[in-house]
Amino acid sequence: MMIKRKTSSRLFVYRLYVFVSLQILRRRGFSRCAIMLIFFINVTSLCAQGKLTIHFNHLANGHKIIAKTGLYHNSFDELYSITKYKYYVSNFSLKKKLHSIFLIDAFGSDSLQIPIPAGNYNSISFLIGVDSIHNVAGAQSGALDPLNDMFWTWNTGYVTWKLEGFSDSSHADLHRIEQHIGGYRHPYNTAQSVYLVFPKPLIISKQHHAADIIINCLLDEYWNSIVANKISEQPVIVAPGIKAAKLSQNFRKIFKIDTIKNK
Amino acid sequence: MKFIFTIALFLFAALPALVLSSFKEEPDFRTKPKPIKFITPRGWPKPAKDIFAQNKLTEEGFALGKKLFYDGNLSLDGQTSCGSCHQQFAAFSTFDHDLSHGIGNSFTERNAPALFNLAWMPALHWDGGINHIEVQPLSPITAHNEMGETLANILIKIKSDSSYRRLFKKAFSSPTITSEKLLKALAQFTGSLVSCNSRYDQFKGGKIKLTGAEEKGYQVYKTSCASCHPEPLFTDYTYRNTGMDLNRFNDVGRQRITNLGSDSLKFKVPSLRNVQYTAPYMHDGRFNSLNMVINHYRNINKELPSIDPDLRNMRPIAEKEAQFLIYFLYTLTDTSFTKNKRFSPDRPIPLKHQ
Repeated sequence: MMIKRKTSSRLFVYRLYVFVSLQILRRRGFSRCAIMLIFFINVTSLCAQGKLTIHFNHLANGHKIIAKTGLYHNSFDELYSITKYKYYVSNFSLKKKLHSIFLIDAFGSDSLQIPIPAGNYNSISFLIGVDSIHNVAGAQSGALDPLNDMFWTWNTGYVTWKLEGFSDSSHADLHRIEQHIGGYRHPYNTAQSVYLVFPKPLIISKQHHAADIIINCLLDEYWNSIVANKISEQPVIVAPGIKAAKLSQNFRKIFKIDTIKNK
Repeated sequence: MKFIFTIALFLFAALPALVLSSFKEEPDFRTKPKPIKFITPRGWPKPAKDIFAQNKLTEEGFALGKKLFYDGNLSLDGQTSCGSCHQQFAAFSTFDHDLSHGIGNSFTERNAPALFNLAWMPALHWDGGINHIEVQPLSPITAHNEMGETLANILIKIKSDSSYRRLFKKAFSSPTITSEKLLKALAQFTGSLVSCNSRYDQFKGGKIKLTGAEEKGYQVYKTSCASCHPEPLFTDYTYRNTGMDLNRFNDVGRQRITNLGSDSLKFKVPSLRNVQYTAPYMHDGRFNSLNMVINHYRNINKELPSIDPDLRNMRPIAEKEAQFLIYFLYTLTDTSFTKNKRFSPDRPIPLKHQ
């Protein structure tokens, strides 16, 4: 009920807006018409927005990762299981930058939705992590609520990537793996930008007002791509610094486009 | 006519924004919080950042922050509030304790810093690890040897308390309780703790005169202390190695945050304001008296390679000057701050540090 009334009142205001615009157009000179036209386009483009859904598909050894019970190996033949796998994604950019921040949980909410203006798109870029502005902005809510347990209390900053599990190769207590990769301070910034080219254009138009992107996240790449990350060498990293900054480079290799679906 | 039309045009432009915003959470205008103007004392620099720009300082927000500050429910044992280690009569440090007590008879590993003029402090904690006043409470709240609680648990406790529901509604015009609002309210209280009315300040304002001994001490301060503890805040908030050797906690100070070897054993320069009440001194409270601190600086080994250059070049304080200096330091005591009822708990709180 509530929603319906809200939409209809919005529609009414919009119609009034168009009506008055037309009145002005009729009565006033060209320059004003141009200004009104800009506002008009603004409003119409607001309405012509599509919906983009991005799914993150978390894989290890080519299989979807199963929490706790799934057993996987990295390229150093180290067997491991995963109990926690969360990370931030932000600053999505297709043509325009969209300043939203999402927390992706491989064993929870692993997709996100953003509004997207009509157009043809060939690539996407985004940040793994939280930009420095949001690391120094004080108390925040939503994805950045410290309740999400992705925040360091002794050295302010968000954890970019949190991976926990167990491996016999780990020399840490209980053979645990605990990799909390984070840090925003130069030169140990761990936020990494990812740029992905689409295999086919993503289209938002009158016919296609929604689209899906499925992104595969290959954990194999995290253990060994740009830098080698042996569990036997460093099972636990829980502070910002050179180790975390080096490891974060691998984020750039983890994400690959699987499919584009124009709906 | 043209003028009116332009105005109409502007109003018209704002219309879509107005319509869209009207669908958001509607604030309750009947209980609009009363704004407080945060005043920079005369002659002081502007605060490091405007901590109230995104957190409008209001009477109701301040009152909520004060209640939270003195509420033991923010800790696991229900007894340890922020105020139990930050005692007003000690300028919000822990009186006469080198280290403070957390839950379950635990000890902290650093001396509880005094809380005042935090709006001017670019980063908090002895090592500057905290970059914003709003997120500082997360550290003591969750530390196992301080308040030992989780944010989620605190929210459960607070949400079930009808008096809090009322106070949150008053402060933020909406009854929903979030961690963001809780932290912002706390920051309204702690950020409002301004100490600027010591005898020194009255002297600077031309209201009183210092005694001869205090005047002599002022000169000693100017020549030997002011390079790290400059007026009017009596600190420059930098991190410096003052020749403290590594303590039993292996506390390397600033290096823990920056990972730089050059920052080893550097700690933030504390303000000298209210120094009479903030004993024991240094990051681990290793010195019990101002005499011990002055003696440390008098006997410092200037050959140590890591020692702060300003200390190496420091004009030595003569033995008879030390007492004058202490007389001057006592003029920085602001009892109108340590006794200000506005900052005191509304009800007596359990005192852990006796």
